[in-house]
Amino acid sequence: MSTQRVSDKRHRACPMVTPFARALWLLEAFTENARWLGNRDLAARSGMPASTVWRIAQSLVILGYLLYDAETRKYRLAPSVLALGYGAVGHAAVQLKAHEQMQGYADLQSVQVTLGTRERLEIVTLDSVSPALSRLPSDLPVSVARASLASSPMGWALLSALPESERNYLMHKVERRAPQDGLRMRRRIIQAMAQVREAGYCSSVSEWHPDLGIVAAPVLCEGRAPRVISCVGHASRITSARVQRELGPRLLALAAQFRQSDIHA
Amino acid sequence: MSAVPPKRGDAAALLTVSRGLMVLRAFRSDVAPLSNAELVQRTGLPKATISRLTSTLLQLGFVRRAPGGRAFELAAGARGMGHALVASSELVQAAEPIMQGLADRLEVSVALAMPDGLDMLYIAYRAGRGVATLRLRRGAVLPMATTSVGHAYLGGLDEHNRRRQMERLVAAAGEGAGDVERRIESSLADLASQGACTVIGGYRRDIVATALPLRVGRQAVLMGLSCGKACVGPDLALEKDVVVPALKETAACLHERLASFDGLP
Repeated sequence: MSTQRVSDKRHRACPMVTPFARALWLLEAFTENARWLGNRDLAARSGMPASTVWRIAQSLVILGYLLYDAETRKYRLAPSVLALGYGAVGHAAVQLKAHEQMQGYADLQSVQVTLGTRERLEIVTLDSVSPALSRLPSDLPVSVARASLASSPMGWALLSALPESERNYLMHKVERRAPQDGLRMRRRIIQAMAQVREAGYCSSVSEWHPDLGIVAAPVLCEGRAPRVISCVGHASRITSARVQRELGPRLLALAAQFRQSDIHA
Repeated sequence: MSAVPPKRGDAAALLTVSRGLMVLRAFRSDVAPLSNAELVQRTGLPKATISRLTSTLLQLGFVRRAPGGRAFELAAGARGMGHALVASSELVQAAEPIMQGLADRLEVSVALAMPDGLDMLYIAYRAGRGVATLRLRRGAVLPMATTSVGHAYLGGLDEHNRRRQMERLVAAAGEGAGDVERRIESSLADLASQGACTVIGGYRRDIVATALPLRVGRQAVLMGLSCGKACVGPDLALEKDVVVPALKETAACLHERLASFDGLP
């Protein structure tokens, strides 16, 4: 994409140009192949006039996000730009692919599909898709932003994929918070883990919610933290036969697809 | 590296840019999406300001709406700046394989961090192959006041600068000031006697981390090198007898390998 087209596209999309927008355009002008840039380079790449560039660049130097070398009269990104969202999860292209794959499964099976990861003692949603023709009543808590690590099938599936020492560490933390539930939780988790070991997924019907059935499977990709893929549907339609025959195996296939996408990303 | 102070008319622009970047920073490396209300809480900026800034970030592709529509998450655009920095950084690329060696050997996470205000910013990071908890990344921001890597950095400063920085940290600590001061003094004592400091629960409960200061490159840029892991019942003897020597060895190796570089990532 040529710099000219990029700046045109932006100017059209942003009728209200703010100093902040300009600062971001300037920061974006630096690439892995363009580490040091002078005023003229920055003007060409960002599509802004040289005087504007100079003003914004100086602001960014004052704020500590750009470094300026008076000798060469060039700027470069300062290390602090790493704090501006580099920690963003995942690569956009991979996430998009995964989303499409999840949609495929959701539409085929008429279930809600959610990809989650662990954040402390909860499973948080990374992405979630609804089936094209949703047969689920809208008042069901189908899409939950957070689920408990210890008491949801999503949590069990993830726990079962962790190394033992880590699982023990997390269970210890969970039990510390709710000592009275400890034994019951442990039993249910052991049960779920056995199912994951045998079938690759764990299922739970009318347990987490009376009207919902859930199938969850761990997703392990090289170099990433463990994630969990789950599908949620009406309890009446998540029969053990259906889980065994199609929901479970196809969920595992989806997890495998994610692994493949990741490798080739 | 220097800047020319802005004219008065640019003060408002500088403020907007500063605030906008503050919002991006507020996402940290968190996985879960943030709503405008949460951003207000994290930044202390007024609601209307946050709303305008997230709008700009949305338009420029730095954030996108999370599933559910109520909150925002970082998008590919936000990753671009940090990526440009790291991908063009020979220093990071030289350091990480050495760090990976230590990470695999001790099954820990290893980080190289630079100061960023009152925090430490990870500029290089490697996790041992077996590690799944404590998965931070480059761009992670951790408090200088309470972490081993922060204390190690403080230990590397000259007396005058150390005192100044400690004053800032203590002032920002509010009620916890006494505790912060004690912990730092304890770490400084460790650094003086054994060349490294160990902190338990500095970042999260049950995280044990050991760190030391490291001067990098021709400019002798002061950084902190740390290794940490999650464990219940940390073994301080192990930290002393195994981790500290291994960390020192890695530090020496890094110092040599990075000697020909400028010093900044």
